[in-house]
Amino acid sequence: MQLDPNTKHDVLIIGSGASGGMTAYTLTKLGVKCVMLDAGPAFDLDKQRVLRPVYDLPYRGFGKPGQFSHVTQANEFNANVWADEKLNPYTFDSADPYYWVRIRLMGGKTLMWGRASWRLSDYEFKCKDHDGFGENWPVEYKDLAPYYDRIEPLMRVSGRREGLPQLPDGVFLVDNSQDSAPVRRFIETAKKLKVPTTKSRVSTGRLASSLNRLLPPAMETGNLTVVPNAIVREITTDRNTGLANGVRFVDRISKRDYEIRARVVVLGASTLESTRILLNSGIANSSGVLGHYLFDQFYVKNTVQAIVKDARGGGGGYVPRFRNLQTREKKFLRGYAWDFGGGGSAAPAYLPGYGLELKQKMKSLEGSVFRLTTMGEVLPRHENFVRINKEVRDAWGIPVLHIHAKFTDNEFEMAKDAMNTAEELCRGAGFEILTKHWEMVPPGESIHELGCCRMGSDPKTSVLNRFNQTHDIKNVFVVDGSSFVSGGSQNPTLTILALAMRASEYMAAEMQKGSL
Amino acid sequence: MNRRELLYSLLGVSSLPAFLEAAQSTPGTDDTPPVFAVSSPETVATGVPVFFAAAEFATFRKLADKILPPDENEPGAIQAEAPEFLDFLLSQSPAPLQSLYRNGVRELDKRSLARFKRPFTALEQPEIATVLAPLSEAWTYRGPTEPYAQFLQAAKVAVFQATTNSRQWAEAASGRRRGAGVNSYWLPFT
Repeated sequence: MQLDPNTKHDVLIIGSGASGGMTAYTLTKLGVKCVMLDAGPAFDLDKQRVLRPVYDLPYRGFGKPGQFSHVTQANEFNANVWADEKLNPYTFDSADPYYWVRIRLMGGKTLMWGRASWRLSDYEFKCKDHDGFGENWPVEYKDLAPYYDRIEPLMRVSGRREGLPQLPDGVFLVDNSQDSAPVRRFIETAKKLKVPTTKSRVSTGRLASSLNRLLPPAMETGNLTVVPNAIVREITTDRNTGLANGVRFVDRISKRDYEIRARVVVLGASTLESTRILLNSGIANSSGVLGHYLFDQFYVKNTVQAIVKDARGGGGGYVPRFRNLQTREKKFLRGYAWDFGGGGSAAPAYLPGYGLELKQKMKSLEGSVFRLTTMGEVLPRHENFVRINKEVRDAWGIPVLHIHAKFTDNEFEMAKDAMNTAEELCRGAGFEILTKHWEMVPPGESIHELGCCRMGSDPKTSVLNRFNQTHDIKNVFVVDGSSFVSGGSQNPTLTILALAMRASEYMAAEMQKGSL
Repeated sequence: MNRRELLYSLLGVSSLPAFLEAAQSTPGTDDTPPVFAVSSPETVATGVPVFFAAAEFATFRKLADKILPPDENEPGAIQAEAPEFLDFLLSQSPAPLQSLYRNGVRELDKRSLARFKRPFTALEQPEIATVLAPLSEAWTYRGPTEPYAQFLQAAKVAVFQATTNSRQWAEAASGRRRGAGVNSYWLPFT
């Protein structure tokens, strides 16, 4: 689509992932003209991927040595997907490494997400009321429920209704699949210990991405113009009004700079990139909390691996938070969840020995390994923050982020409790413990980074209001995970989508009224 | 049908886009150059060790053989040319990993000589079991603290991966599993 370069667009959206995609989807259907800038290239998914045997890859699947020191999700098959840290550097204190996992492609991280689609509950939205720590959100579950209701069918979320207050039910494609013998035994043991279980709730389909679910319907309206390879330097403001009037961006390939004008600017570039843009723009920080209260969810991968001696079989499920709901733990606040599943095999690293004896042992365990991975809530703390490091710039000359985040005893104690309880459940089910540990992956590795532009009712302690609108500049919105006040242990994408849809409808109504 | 064509046929896909296949089957009599079927170096040649010195490589090669020997169904590390591949991988690896392997191989020979007066390449069982004893320790998340044990554990994992990801392994496995080792590869973006 050719547009007059001098046009002042209705809404400028930065980012094409979950939040940017949902903003475009919602606004364009309401008749709002949008321009979307994304830092990465557009591509044809079917032409971008080919089948290859691992032995035909240059490094036999090991990947190029040293290429991704902070992206454990990268492998040689998908290495081209992840953002190159040499082009896109960031800094942290060497004692506290932060794993910032990024995808700079049209569709963002929805190209590779795990698809887990959980609702938050008032245990999260009203967390301070429940245990006294942190801040409540400026919205409650009932405010977001109608949006969850609309998004789950759009993302074709499958699941099973359970009636759990800490994990509200949704509009699911009903999952009535049978559980394997190991999973049944685990669930029965969990019931005896009053630990709830449910089926995984996941967005289904060949692809469940902004790229196929959100952007195509938006394009069909004729109201969306997409500009790939556009890396935003800063949001520009009108000196007279103080309002945002557009952004300045640089073309990824030519490195030529551009300016674009818009009535409203929406940041959906991901938690840390949106924060970086605001910090580099020097706006929306009258509270002084912009960049603070960075948190994510800690993961303990394979906290317990167990051998199911007399049964094999796959499948799995989810244990939602069960700690600190009706009772109070002595050593930690909040709670954790588990993904669990059977049917796995033991990697050689987990078994002692070598040679044919080890190989035979591995073969004997094929399909009989049961695993649990812990996902725990990380408390939002002011002392976990990002700032601009003016000493380091990316390949386009834009100052980078310095990230400071570390876990505290609350997370460590929770991780220990999760390991011990998982072991108890597995032993109760008659499983043989193969390995156990409570070592969390570094902050950031869960790719659930949240906070830094948190919502709140008080402009002195928050960056955004209850509609994801900055307190300081009414025509700047931040609709991604940076708006979270707390995160629970549920994967955040469904809530990001709900917040973006809600903010977009508010935005459209305000524009209609002439308030924006 | 070569190995690659067999794998692709088992998956029900073509190894080449249809238009390229058509081009391939038509003699190049017009302006469109034909696309030739080509092979990777590993199908016709053996990688030359460049990281380890000759004696070190011999030690490492024997270690790889002990970690994963062949059986009646599948190749072992030697048949899969895992030592040669890992030598190449190490040549491009960060310095700390290079040091771990180089020092580890030297320590393996040092311990063999100290205990049995012969290099590792000359040892037999149960002597081998003695110097490889750290491989029988139970798994811990952080792994062993001693560099020699760290080397052995790292080598064990790497030898398994290099072997099971090899062409030779895929050929052996293809009779039992469709598309063994085949996955969706993301091409570079422009």
